Amino acid sequence: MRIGSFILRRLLLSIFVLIGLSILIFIIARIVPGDPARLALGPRAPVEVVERLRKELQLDKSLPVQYWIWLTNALHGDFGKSLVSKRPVIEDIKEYLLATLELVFFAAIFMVFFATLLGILAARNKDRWADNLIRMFAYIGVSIPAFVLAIFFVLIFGYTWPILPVLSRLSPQFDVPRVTGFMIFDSLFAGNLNAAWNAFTHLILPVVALALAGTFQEARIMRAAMLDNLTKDFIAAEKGYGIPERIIMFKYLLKPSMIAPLSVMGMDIAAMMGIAFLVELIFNWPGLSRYGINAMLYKDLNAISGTVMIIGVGFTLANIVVDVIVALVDPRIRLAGVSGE
Amino acid sequence: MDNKEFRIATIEKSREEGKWHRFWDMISRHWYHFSYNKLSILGISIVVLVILLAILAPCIAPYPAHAGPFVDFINAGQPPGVKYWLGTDPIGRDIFTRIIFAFRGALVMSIVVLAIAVPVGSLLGLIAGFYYKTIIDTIIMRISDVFLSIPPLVLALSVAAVLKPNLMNSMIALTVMWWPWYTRLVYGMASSVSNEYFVIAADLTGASKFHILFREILPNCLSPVFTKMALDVGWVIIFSASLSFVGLGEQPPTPALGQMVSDGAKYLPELWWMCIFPALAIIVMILGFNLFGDGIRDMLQSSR
Repeated sequence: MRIGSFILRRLLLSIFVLIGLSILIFIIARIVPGDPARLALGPRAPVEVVERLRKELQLDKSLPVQYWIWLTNALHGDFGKSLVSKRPVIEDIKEYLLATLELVFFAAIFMVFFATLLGILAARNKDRWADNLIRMFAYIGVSIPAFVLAIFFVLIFGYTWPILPVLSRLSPQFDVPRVTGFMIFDSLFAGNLNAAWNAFTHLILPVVALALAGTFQEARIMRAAMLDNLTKDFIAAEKGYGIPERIIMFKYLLKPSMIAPLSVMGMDIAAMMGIAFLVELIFNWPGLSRYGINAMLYKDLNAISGTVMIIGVGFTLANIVVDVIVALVDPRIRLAGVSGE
Repeated sequence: MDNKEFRIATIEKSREEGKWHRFWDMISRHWYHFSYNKLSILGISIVVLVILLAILAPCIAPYPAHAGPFVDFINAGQPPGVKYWLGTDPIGRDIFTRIIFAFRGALVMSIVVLAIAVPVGSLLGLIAGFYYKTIIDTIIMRISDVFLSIPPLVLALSVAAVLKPNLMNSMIALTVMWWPWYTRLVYGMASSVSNEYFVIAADLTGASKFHILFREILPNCLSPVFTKMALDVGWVIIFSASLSFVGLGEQPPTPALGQMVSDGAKYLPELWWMCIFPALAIIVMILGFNLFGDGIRDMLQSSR
């Protein structure tokens, strides 16, 4: 009940944010670049043709009216046609979105799993070599942009030591019918274990490139939270009761220590949708981000606004999910959220 | 008489010396906190080195002409060696020279972006925090929420994409993306500080709004802002390298680190030095600024 009204409140707030985002995107993609009709037809098109297209695209109306038309179309899933692929933008988005989600999904799993594991490891071995090694990797990891890491992976695993595939989602000899859009699950549904394994090997490098920097950072936060909680009274009480250290560690210490890393992880996972723009480009991953970046390079304004809007919706939803998970773990937030500030 | 004048002069002199002494005292205390972590010293060394290389680029670089439209097919694609320390690209330009010149763009970028985004963002956060729970607060904070509702890199890329790709416009793109973070930060502190007694007291004694905002509230919010600024330089470099990597930053022939990496990636694995050395330069530069930022944070936290 309480968590229900918390979710409702967050959803209502995010509707306002998304309306604001649509205005921002409208400004970026429609107003800043100048006349869309002239851009679509090129500088040498005759004036009458441009005028006709302006009428057709309803660009002769006032800006608020244009925005209203754009918004109602967008709500019906109509972002106009892409200049590059000559198809409706929404079709392109449907085709590419799941590949990006697959990448982010597995990167999130990688990040949560290894950040927790390394955090526990560092906290248990405080100031010993494992802890110092993780600290060092955290310093270096945050200094390597994801695209540089991706380039290194391509060089190492593509040329000097080719044990992992570096391009696309699946080797061309496999053909898997599309059910969920996630290659691994599709292959498993088709009963094709070889294809599933192949899809998995294709995932490894992009996922690691996407998640690695954040993983070490969160391991550090996890370590700090655990060491902080270790000095709290409830741990001393449990030790006093003679509860074995392993049980204290995993049953009582882990949950309160997850709160701080969880919210940072959530932000990082949501931000992956942005970083994926470069990683997908390098690994030639046929996802929405690669589509978006190509749209940006060709100034394909309809595709830009469609992609950015969809990513904004995904980002906002991801943030809500994270807030809900954090609220489930931390009762203080949950209760404060209901009684109001 | 003479004696008295002499005494006054000595007191004046020692007062002057006292000023200097206190100044040095402050510096050395800050330096103590800063250099407590040896990694901060590594950081500041890298930062100073990069800044010196960037400023003195035309004097230090072995082949200054190679930072522009220069062609020398005889020495094209040379591997790293004595003549060209980090090798040359397929049209014979020295990679080392181009990296040094690329530092200039990266530094100018971070200075300009932070110099605009920090004051603007902080000012808006200050105003929103002062008018806590009024319509002004709602408007400013909801607008900043909108800017934070897409991944930062996506926002920067799309702004840079609709403008003409060049250094100036990639700065605009990053500034557009950067200010809301400072608004959030200052807002959080300003809204709590504005309920403190000294602010209420200033208000009751008839101090102007300007005085309350900038003399009472703002100084109490500055330390975290400086900390964030020091830590953000590395991030600006990452984002600017990402923009120039996809071709939305500085345009050739002027070198930029991200652009050099993406150019080099086309010639992998034969001309590996074209790609690896600019990539390492990015990493070292960001590492330096991050360690420096950590040092500044430790310094500001422990001297408070």
